[in-house]
Amino acid sequence: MDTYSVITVAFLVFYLFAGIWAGRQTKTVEDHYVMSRSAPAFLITGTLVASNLSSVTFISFTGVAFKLGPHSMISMFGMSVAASLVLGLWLGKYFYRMELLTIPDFFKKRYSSRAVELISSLIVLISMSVYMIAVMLGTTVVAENLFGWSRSASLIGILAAITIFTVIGGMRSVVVTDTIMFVVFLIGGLIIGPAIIIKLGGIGPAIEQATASIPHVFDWHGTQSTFVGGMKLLETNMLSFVMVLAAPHLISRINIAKSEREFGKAMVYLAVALPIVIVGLIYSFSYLPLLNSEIKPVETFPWVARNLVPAFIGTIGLAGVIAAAISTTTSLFQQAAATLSSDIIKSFFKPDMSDDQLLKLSRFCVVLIAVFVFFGSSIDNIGAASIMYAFLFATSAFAAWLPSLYLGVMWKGATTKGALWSMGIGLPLIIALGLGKKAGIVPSWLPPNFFGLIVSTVIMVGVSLVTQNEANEEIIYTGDSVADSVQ
Amino acid sequence: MKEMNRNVGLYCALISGLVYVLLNIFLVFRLPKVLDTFLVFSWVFVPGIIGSLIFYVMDKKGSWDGKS
Repeated sequence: MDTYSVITVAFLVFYLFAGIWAGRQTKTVEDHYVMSRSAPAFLITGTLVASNLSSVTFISFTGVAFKLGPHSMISMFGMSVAASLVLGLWLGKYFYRMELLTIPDFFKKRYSSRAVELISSLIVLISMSVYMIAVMLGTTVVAENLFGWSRSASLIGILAAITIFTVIGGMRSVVVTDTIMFVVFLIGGLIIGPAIIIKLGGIGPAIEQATASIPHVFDWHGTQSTFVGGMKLLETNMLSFVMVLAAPHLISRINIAKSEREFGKAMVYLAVALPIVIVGLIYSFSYLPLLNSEIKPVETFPWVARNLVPAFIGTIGLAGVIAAAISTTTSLFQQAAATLSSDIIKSFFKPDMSDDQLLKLSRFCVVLIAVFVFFGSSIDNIGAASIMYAFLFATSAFAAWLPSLYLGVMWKGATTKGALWSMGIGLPLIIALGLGKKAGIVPSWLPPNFFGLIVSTVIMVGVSLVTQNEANEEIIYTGDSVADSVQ
Repeated sequence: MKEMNRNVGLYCALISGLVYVLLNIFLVFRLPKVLDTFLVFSWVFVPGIIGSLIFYVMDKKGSWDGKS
C-alpha cells in the first residue's frame, strides 16, 4: 500500500474506534434513537453538516462544477441555509415538543391512520436505502482510486465499519463521529479546492485564463442553455429545500437537541460554516479544466487530492470523502433501521415488544439493511451522473411527505385523509417521473421533486378542505401562541 | 445565560458578514461578469447573516422556552 492507503486505513480505524467508544453509553432505546435528547449545538451542527455533505458532494458536485460551471451546485446551499434557519428559528420547536423517536412517529401522533403511518415508514425505507446506495457508489470510486480494491472489497470494508458502530452506539456514535468528520473534511475541503487556484497562479491569473478559455464559469447557467440551466437551478434548490425540511436523517436531529434554543443555535452555526466550506470546495473546481480538461468528472476530486497538494493533505482529503460517506451513511442507516424496527415491525406486528427487545431488533435491522445496500451498490457503470441521479431520485421521495409534515404542524385544518391522498399519490408519481427520466420518456430537464411537491401540496390542501379532522388527531400548532402547543 | 452565549447570534452574523465582504472584494468584483456570481454568493451568505441577527434578537427578547 502507498502512503495514501496507509494513512487512510489508520484514519478509518481511528474513526471506527471513536464510534465504538462514543457508543459505549448507549443502553436504552432513547439513547439509541435520539441520544437521550442531550446534544449541544456544536454536535448538532457537526452531524448535520457531515450528514448533508456526503461523498455525493465531494465526487459528484465537484464533477458537475468542473463540467458545467459552479453556480447551480453552490446556489443549492443557499437554500440549505435558508431552510435550516426556518427550521431552527421557527418550526423546529413544534416537532421538538412532540418528543418523537422517529419521523414516522410524527405521522402516527398527528394523523390517526395506520395507512398514513405505513406510507411514511415506506418513504423512509425506500428513500434512505436508495440514498445509501448513491452514497456508497461515490465512496467506492474513492476507495478504488485509493486502495486499488475491487468494488466488492471496497463495499464490504466500508459497510462493515459503518455497521459495527451503528449497531453498537446508535445515534450517539453517529453524532460524535459525524462531528469529527465535519472537522476533517472542513480541513480537506478548504485546502483541496483552493489548491487549484494556487496552482493557476492565484485568483487574478485564474480569472484571466478562465476568461480566455472557459468563460462559462462566470455565467449562472454554465455550459447549459438558459432554459436547461434554469431548470437545473430550480431542481437543485428544490432538492435542498426538500432535503433540509423533509429528509428524515436531517430533521431527526431536532429530536436529539438538549433544548429548542440549542437546536436554533446549531442552525445558526450551520449558516456560518456551510457557505464557507461549500464556496471553498466547489467554486475552485470550475477552474480545473484550465489544468486538466481530460479528467472524467467523477475523478476530479481524487485527481486534485493526488496531484496538487502534499501527500498528507491529499490523504486527509480522500479520507475525508470516505469519512463524509460514512457519516452520511451512518445517519441513513440509523434512520432506516429505527423505522424498520419501531415503525413497521413493532407498530404493525409486535406492539407489545419491550424496550430491550426493540433495541436488539434495531441493531439487527442495521445489519439487514447493510446487506441490502451491499447488493444494491454492486453496479458496473458509475459516473457522476449516475450518482447524482440516484441521489436526486432518493431525495425526491421526501417531497411526497413534506406538505403533510409541515401543514400538519401549521394548520389545524390538515386532515388525515389529506395526508393519505397527498402521500399516496405523491410518492408513486415521483417514482414514476424519476424512472421515466432515466428511461428517456420524461424530459431530462423536468425536476421530479418540484412537480412532486406541487402535486402533493395541492392534494393535501384540496382534500383537507373537503374532509373533516379525525377524532384522535393530535393538533400541534394552534397559531395562537407558543404556550398553546400540545405537549 | 452567560453574556457570550447571549451574543452568539451577533458574533455569527459578524463572521458571516466579514467572509461575504472579503469574498466580494477579492474575488467577485474582479470577475469579468460580476452579477451572476454576486447573486449566487449573496444567496448563500445573506440568509445566514439575517438568521444570525434574528437569533440574537430572539435571545434578547427571551423568545425560547427558558431552557438554555
